[in-house]
Amino acid sequence: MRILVINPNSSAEMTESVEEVLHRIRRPDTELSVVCTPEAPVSIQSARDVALSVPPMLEIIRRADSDGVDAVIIACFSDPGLEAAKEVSSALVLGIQETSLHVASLLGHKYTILTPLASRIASKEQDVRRFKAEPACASVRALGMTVLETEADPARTKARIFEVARAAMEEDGAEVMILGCAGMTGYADDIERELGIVVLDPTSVTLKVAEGLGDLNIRHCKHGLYASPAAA
Amino acid sequence: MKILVININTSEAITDKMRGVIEGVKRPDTHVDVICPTKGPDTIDSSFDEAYAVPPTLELVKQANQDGYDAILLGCFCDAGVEAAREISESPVIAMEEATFSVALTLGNKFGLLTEKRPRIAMKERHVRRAGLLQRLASIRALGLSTADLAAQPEETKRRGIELARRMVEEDGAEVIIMGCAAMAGYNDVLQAELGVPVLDPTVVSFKFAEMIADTGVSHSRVGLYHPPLPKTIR
Repeated sequence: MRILVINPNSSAEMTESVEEVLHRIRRPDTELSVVCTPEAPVSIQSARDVALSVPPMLEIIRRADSDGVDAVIIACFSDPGLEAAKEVSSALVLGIQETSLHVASLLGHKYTILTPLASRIASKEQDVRRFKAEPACASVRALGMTVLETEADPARTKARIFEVARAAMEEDGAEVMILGCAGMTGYADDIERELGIVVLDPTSVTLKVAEGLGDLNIRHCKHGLYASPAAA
Repeated sequence: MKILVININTSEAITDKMRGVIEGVKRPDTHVDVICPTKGPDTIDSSFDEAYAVPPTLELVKQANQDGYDAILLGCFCDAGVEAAREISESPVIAMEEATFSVALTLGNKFGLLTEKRPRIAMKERHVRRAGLLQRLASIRALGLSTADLAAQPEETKRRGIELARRMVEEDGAEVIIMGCAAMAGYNDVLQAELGVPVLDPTVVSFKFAEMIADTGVSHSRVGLYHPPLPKTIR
């Protein structure tokens, strides 16, 4: 099975770290290609960044789709351009946010999304509504660090994830924690062990969902919301 | 007062039509410019089209801030790029769909949304849900005619639009109707007289909303959802 993972920003470092994690957990027969989007901003932390990252990302997806890829994963927790990507692609397209919100609601009564910056909480809440995942949402909480700071300071990142996750568990009733940024990748096992709750790394979860749906040859519906655009 | 209306598609014909409607309802002391980007799709029919319309629109929003407009109206009943536009704008940015929903809430319990194409119903519902307004939505119904039929059969379009709006009122509990389709523009008064409920034309309503916001001198909050983006390198 051929799966394309797109990091819709232009950071090569972030792309490499996603690639490393996914290569460890992919099935031996999954042919994985992990790419970044050279024309996009270096990180995605605002609606402006999302807007600028989507057109070049869509070009990559259209090429991959015509090359016969089996599934495409948009590996950014903002799910930039997810609806447009599903419109232009006949191959399965999964966004790591939408996928992990729905998987989280299978695993516990309520989930909390951890996001880097407090200024993005409102945007995540909007996404939760967009993806029809509101009833299971306990809270959205921020680490108070930028994406690049989480990349640069792993020790502080881990400490903050631990503190914020514990607060979400005790104060908001969260039973599942979603690490809502690529910079938080790799801490799921430790946090899960220490707090005794379920912690999801969205990119890893989404790869496994893609492999599973790919096995069953299930794709998104092309009638209605994701119908092909008229003159793409 | 100086207001900029950005039709986010590149069609001069649609921009001219929009200018005509707005010139007809603006206050005498309002100066209005109605423009469209030079790059991007010439109509917006999909999320794909929206994706390509937004970056050129953002450039116009940036420029409008330098040019000292008191308010900026994004003239597309899909609100593409509104969050990004607000992030980069000091001037208030009014979104046509959101402004029309907001006004509808003040006129009745639930609103019904009339749209053109059936495939867009799901996306409209998603917009309503994202705005947190699902409880105030009666229904979304589509004319379901092709663009060619809409143009060729104005009487049939009108008849069907009235019929659908009537069913939204009688069967779905709509107390306000939003005319979310350009093909029905101009039939507001007919519809309002036929049905006896308020009928909102998004272009008109959102423009008057923009004048009101400019009058009050408030702009969008910059502490949360519309926080200015961090400075960064964009190649």
